[in-house]
Amino acid sequence: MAVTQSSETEQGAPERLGVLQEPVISSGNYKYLKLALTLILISIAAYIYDEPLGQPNGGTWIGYTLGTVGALLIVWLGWFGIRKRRYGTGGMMLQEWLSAHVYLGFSLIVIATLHAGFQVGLNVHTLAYVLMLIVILSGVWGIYLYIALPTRMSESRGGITLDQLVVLIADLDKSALGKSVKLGDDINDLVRDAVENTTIGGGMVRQLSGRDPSCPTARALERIGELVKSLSGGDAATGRQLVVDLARKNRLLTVARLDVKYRAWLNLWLLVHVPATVGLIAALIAHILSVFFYW
Amino acid sequence: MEVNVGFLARRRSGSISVRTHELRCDVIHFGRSADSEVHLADPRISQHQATLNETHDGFRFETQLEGDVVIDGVATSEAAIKPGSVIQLGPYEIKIIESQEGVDLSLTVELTEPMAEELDELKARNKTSLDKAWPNRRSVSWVLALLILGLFLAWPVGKHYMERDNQAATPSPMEVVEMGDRVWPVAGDLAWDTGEVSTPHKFLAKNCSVCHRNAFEQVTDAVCVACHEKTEQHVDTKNYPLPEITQATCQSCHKEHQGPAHIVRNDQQFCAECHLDIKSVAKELDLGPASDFGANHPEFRPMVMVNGRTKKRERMTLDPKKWPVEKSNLNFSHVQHLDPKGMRVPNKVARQVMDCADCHVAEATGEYMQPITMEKHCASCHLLQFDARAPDRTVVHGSVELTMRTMREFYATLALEGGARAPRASSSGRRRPGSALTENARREAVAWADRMTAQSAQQVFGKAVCKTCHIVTQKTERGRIKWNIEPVTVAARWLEKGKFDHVRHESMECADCHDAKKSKKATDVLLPKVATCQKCHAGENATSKVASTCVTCHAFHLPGKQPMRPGLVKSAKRKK
Repeated sequence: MAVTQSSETEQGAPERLGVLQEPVISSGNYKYLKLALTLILISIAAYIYDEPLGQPNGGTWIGYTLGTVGALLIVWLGWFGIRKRRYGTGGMMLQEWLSAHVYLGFSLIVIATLHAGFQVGLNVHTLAYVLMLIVILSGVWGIYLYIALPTRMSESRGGITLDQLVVLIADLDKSALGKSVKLGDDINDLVRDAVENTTIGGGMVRQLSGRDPSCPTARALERIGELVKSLSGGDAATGRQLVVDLARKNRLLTVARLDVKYRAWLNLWLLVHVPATVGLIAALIAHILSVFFYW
Repeated sequence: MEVNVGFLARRRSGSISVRTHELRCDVIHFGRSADSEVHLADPRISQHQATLNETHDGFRFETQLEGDVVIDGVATSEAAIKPGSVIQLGPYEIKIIESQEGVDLSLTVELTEPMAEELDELKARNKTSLDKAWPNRRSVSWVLALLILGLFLAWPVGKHYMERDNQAATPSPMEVVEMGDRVWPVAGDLAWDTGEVSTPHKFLAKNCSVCHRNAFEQVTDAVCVACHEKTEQHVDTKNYPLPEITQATCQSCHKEHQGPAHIVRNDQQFCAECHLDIKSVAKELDLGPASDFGANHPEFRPMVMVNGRTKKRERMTLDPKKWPVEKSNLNFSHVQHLDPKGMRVPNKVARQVMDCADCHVAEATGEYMQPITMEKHCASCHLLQFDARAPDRTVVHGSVELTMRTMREFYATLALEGGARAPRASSSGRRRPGSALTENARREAVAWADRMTAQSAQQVFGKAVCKTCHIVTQKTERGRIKWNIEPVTVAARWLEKGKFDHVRHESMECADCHDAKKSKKATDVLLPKVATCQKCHAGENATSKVASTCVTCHAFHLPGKQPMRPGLVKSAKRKK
């Protein structure tokens, strides 16, 4: 539906987000900024010119016109969510689409407000209006995140991807198991728990916090650190190497979880933006049908 | 005991390799520990997981914990084993097989459930995308969309059809009131309300389908005329089938859901479309052009009484050169009554100064003045006496016949009573009390009373009392004078086509508009000219005067015209 993607392509998403910066703002020599400003000016002029019977609202000729333009814009901008999954196939580049999405999205604030004649109430019509504002404002939040976060993300990962981090962690697991199999049951159980039950990410809170307070690896590191002190001979050497493995894994987990955290925040606005868009389209259908149902 | 242990390993090709160990011991230990006789190097196996012992009647397999091992399909901690037994110990399968000569026991050990690849397992466990967590975009989107469509579309539509079928075609106002208030969300369509309904229609604001009858159809005029059946047309549409009027719907001019105020089309441009050049629309009509009260409005043309007897009225312009004359048959002087020194009042020494409000009081609506009556406004001063000898006796106002009878009865009584009060009465007046009246005397008395009545009538009708205010005529019938008072018809309203609210103008002086202090005759039409109104009022775009549009003073629906939608009234009623 919207700006991010299926899990396979997602891993590389932050790198691609560079497109969200200057080319979006200035795409096509500010073509869509100009188009949006033109739309806004025409709407304001028409609104001022019109003197309907009663208060200005969606039921006047200007109201119907602004409403139609607004509804078409919403559907077209919503189409972006589907369109961008197949970017590169149409005549328009993704940056161009996104540029149109941003500027024309902003113009909707003016068009819809004038369409409503500044009237609000506790009804399905204002529900659609409020959802539209939520969509637009969450979009603004998204733009901010897409500009601010990717740099921080690649800095924290030190140039490797989350996929590579996971592979490194799995390697350390294998190595730790190879060592713990030679050691006592207590150590072996802790390592096995760390290998089998450590997760990166998880539920919404885990992903957004970037922490796992009950991480089996952290637990194993802490306890085995104590247990190896009582080992002797070859076991002691194996134990120390095991602690090193676990400590490295723990560090990698912290980095991976921070990456997941950024990734989650980068997607959280979409959790607002996309459902609000779908809700807006539903409310828009209800709004349009109800207005003409009770004409 | 002699034991053969075969470690099986399956290759990818499916072939099996066997690595055999020969053991000689009393107890076989199974464990991860390096000193175990059967070394099981898997993290899921403990260091000393199980033992195998020889007993007097065979072999027993034992673990420390109950259920730690599955022997021939039974989870247990120990069991006797024999060739053919299958032992599932953690990820290992141990099979007891037939032994060769000289060997006590033979078994094979195979890792049947190797550990999964760590990477695959880790990847499977990880949830690094919010889409994989709950709540995710897809589920929230679905829930939100279905909730909105259900609550704000499907439910109201269904409810509309359920309720509408239980309603009369268009219920009467009382029926609507009896329906009671509906509340959201039971009444789902209330969420569709686009704005406050006007105050006069508030009683039906919560019952949408009273007006919104059919889906995707604008509220029809039939709904409006079900209650407003008498609302009149603006013109006679047979003679003037103007499309602007015949094709317009109620909604063309009357808007709902626009807040408490009743929204009516009131722009002067709408009226000016016809009235700017009204002759081109109806050249036979005696109407002047109008388009803006301040800039283009004809002089007022009151309906003036031209014949008080026949009550004939004519529309006349307030032309200073030919000011209309109201022939109401009343004699009255405003100058006299408004004398600043005051008026003489019967039986009082002080003079009474009068002002307008002593007689002219606005009705509660402000549109009309309360009627002026003899009894209420005039009689306290204008006593209808007819004989100075009896100042307390008055004639009846309003009837010549009763006046004549009152006077005749008075004089006849005097004649019969006799005495000094009737000095010129006949001899009958001087008879002895108790003696019968002779026929002659009776005739004399009647003749005297008749004479006196005629004399007084001459005075009352012909000279003093009635004639003060009325036009009195007389004719002789069979030798007797018949008096006649011309009927008085004071205009209740001169400017019938416009409305004016005296109450709303009460901050002004009467004299600001009505020049009564100079008026000596009741025939004066004391109306202000349009210019007087224009001192304060101008058209709808006025900025420094009271902005007044056509409907400020004029109604669109004109009394006396046919109903707006006569056909619809019938059909709306028939549906009931």
